[in-house]
Amino acid sequence: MDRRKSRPGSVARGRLRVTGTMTEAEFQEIDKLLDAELQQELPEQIESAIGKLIDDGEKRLIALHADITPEGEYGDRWLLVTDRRLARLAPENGSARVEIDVPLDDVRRFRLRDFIGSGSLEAVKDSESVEVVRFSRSVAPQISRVYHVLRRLSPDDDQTDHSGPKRSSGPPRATRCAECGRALPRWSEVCPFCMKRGQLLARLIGYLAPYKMYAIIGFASSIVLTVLNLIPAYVTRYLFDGVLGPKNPAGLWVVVWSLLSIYVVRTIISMGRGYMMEWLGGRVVLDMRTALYDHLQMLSLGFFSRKQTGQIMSRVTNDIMRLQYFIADGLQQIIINLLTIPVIFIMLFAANPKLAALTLLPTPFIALGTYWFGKLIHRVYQKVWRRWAGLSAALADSIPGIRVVKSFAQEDRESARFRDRSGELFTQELNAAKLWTTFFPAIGLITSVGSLVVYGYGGSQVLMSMTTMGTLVMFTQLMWQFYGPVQGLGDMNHRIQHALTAAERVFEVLDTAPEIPEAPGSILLPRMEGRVEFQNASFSYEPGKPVLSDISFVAEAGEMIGLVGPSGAGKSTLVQLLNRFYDVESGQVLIDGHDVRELSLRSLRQQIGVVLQEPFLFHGTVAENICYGVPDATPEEIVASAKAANAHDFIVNLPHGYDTMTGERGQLMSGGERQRVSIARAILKNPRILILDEATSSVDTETEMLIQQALERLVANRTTFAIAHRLSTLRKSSRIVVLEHGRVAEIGTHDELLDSDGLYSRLCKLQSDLSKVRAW
Amino acid sequence: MINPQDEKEEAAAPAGPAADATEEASARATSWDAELQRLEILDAKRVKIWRDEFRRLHVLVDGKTEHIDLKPAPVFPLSEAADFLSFLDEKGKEVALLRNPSCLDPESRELLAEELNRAYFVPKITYIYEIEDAHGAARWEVETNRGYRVFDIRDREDVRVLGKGRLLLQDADGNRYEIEDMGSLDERSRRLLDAEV
Repeated sequence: MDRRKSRPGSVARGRLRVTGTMTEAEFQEIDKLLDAELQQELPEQIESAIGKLIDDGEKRLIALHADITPEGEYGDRWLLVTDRRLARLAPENGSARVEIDVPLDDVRRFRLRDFIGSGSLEAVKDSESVEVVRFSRSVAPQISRVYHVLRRLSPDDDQTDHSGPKRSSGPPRATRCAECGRALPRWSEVCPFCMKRGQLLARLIGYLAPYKMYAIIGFASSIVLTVLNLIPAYVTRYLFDGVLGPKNPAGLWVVVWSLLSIYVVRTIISMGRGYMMEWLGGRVVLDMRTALYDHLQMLSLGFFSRKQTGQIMSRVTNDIMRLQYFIADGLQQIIINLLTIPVIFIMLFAANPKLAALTLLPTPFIALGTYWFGKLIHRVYQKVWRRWAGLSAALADSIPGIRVVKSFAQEDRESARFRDRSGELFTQELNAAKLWTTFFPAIGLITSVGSLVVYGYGGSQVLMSMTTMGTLVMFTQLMWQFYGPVQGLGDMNHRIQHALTAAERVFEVLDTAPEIPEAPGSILLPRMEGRVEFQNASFSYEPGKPVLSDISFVAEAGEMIGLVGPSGAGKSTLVQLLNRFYDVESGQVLIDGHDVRELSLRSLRQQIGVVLQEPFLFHGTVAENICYGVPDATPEEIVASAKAANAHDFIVNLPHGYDTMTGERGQLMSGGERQRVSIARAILKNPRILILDEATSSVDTETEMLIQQALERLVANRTTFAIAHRLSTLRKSSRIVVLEHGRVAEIGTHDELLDSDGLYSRLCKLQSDLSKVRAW
Repeated sequence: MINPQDEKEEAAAPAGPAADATEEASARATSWDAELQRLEILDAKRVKIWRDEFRRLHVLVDGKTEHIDLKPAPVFPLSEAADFLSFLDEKGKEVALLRNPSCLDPESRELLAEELNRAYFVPKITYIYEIEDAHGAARWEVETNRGYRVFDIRDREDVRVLGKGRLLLQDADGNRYEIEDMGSLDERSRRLLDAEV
């Protein structure tokens, strides 16, 4: 095909502009499409080069940074568009070089080329094509907008195909943190770089708020316990200095009785507090788990299609479990340790400052070691967790796919795969073990050496009678009670790290906003009529790869619309726009004249019934599955809907009738039977709009007939969208919409489309050739 | 119509003792061979490639059949299982499948390399200056074979280990980067990388 051939009309338009710059009206129209994204501030050197390049009265339209050089290296280039020319500038020795300067009048049309990881914009002239600019995906959205502006200026462009200025082409790009400009993680609105650990901890502790009283009692008992733990040291000093030294028998009984009562009281308080804190931890985690699951249910389909099931499960189970350990045990320990350390510190210095200073000598080493260890172990644990997640992901992948594994006799390979991942986990766990099995004994050594210092120095002082025996014994006792918490803080550090990481992952899910938001003040449509209108609806899952573009048609209430087209044409996506599994990017989907985005999600989905190709039955009885959408349905209603779905007869033949368990994934029933149960489910819901997504494509002809009958009952008086590959299923459709490459290729009745000799009639011929049995 | 999948299974099955092989099985094996034969992979020597003044890629096969305005697409870009290259027309339909493009004549080869540099822009990371990681989200500052680059990774899932030390990354904007062999990077880069995988 020769692209130079231009249509007569466009030549005239092209000529018009040859006479000079664009008209004021044209300029105004273009100018409306521009904003800061396309009119960027330029470095001085580029600015001055542009000043030299352009003529007086020439109007600047677009100035944009691009990031790939013509040679295909990363590098800065600037694209300039004025009302007369198109230029590319490159920085050069503090100034700028004009690499390309194309008068707009020479350009017949523009061509935007979309590649893997990059793209290019070309200007097609009469005798050649010029590569105007190359860019990575980071700049692609802006260049795409430039392209749509430029198309308005090019005479050979198919002007009828204007789909508007495409301001929001592609789903929202990665949102960036307002503070640091980094891309935010998918599904999160919290920037992990700007998030403060303290804030995270505060948020975690915030979950204790409803149980304030318990937390306060727990805290108070911690203080009492700390004190009770320290008193015995004083008593021991008295034992040596006031009883054993002066041979004072009466004092001995005081010591024994007071120690006994302290031990008893301490034990009772410990029991009570331990149970209470366990309860508190469990309770808080129960709240979090519930909140997490509730939130998961709220999230949009996109979230689930991108995260692996195993990952989501791991957040609800593992991460939450880690938090329970922290809230029940970790927090208590931290509080007790933090209280004990300063108190012992004061006690030691009050008794003998010099000995105290020596006793505390190893403390800085322990503290520094702890800090260093915490950092290292955190990194290693991250890897351990990633391996854990990988392991559960492997499980979540292979168990549901077990039929495929078995039918291809690949059990050994799956086992090997699992073994590999398990092995990786083992290696990483060993790495972690290597670290802590080295660290803790080393710390133990330091403290033991510290105790030797106390014995040596303190002992010599006792021998020289510079201090009492009781004081020395008290010191050795308190010393161990001091190192314990300090050493514990090392453990604590990584326990907090564990907990915070888990908390972060849980909060990340909790902070994920549903992509399909419910509009504030959404409209309740108690009983919709079922008139559906698509107005220029466009959608894409990935930027730059439109799945649906400019879909427009109306389905009147009660009409049955057949959706036909090659796989990947966007049929399933189209119906998912209807019940808002996804939202349009541009255009609108209207039900009874209301944009679906304005309707209450619940009332919208309650009135749309869906029958899918692969029906999903929950673990439960047949009856429970039928009334899934209407839990309070009467037995009469359930039987009636099963009869309407042609399901009743086989259900009563099941061992326990309607109370038969479906088995996991409904494997006790055949595909056709499960399909009929799912149709009964849809009938019982009595929806106004019905979506049949390949509802009969996976069953045999006889079952298909039964299902067809059932569907015909279901379809009556409802707006129906039926997707089918077997075109025979659609012969009752009021109209058929043929989709191709995400666009509406044809619309009409079966007969009209057959006559028109388009895609539909081709498909029909193809199918009737394939199966002569089916009469048209 | 033969189902290639099944046949492949058949063919891949360990060949038992010759006595076991029924005639039917051998007949099917032959038909699978026929299927393989039918797979037309052009030898690079039969192909000439050039670009016209409208920047359209032309592919001339055997000096006779000419295809215009094609886009090259590597078939196994990551695993490099085979050096196949597909040529797609404007609608994404394959018009030719080429084997060993490195055996093309020098001009064609040079042009193809330039076109591939466009069509499959996946810079290879050669040195890592810094990775600032915050629980999966990370900012990478790297040197690639196409120059210096800073990019953001949104999610740990966007760092894919392809086996044998090969890594594929996708940044927040959808750009891709590759690390051919983690083991062959310098120690500093390796250490930074180690925390990410």
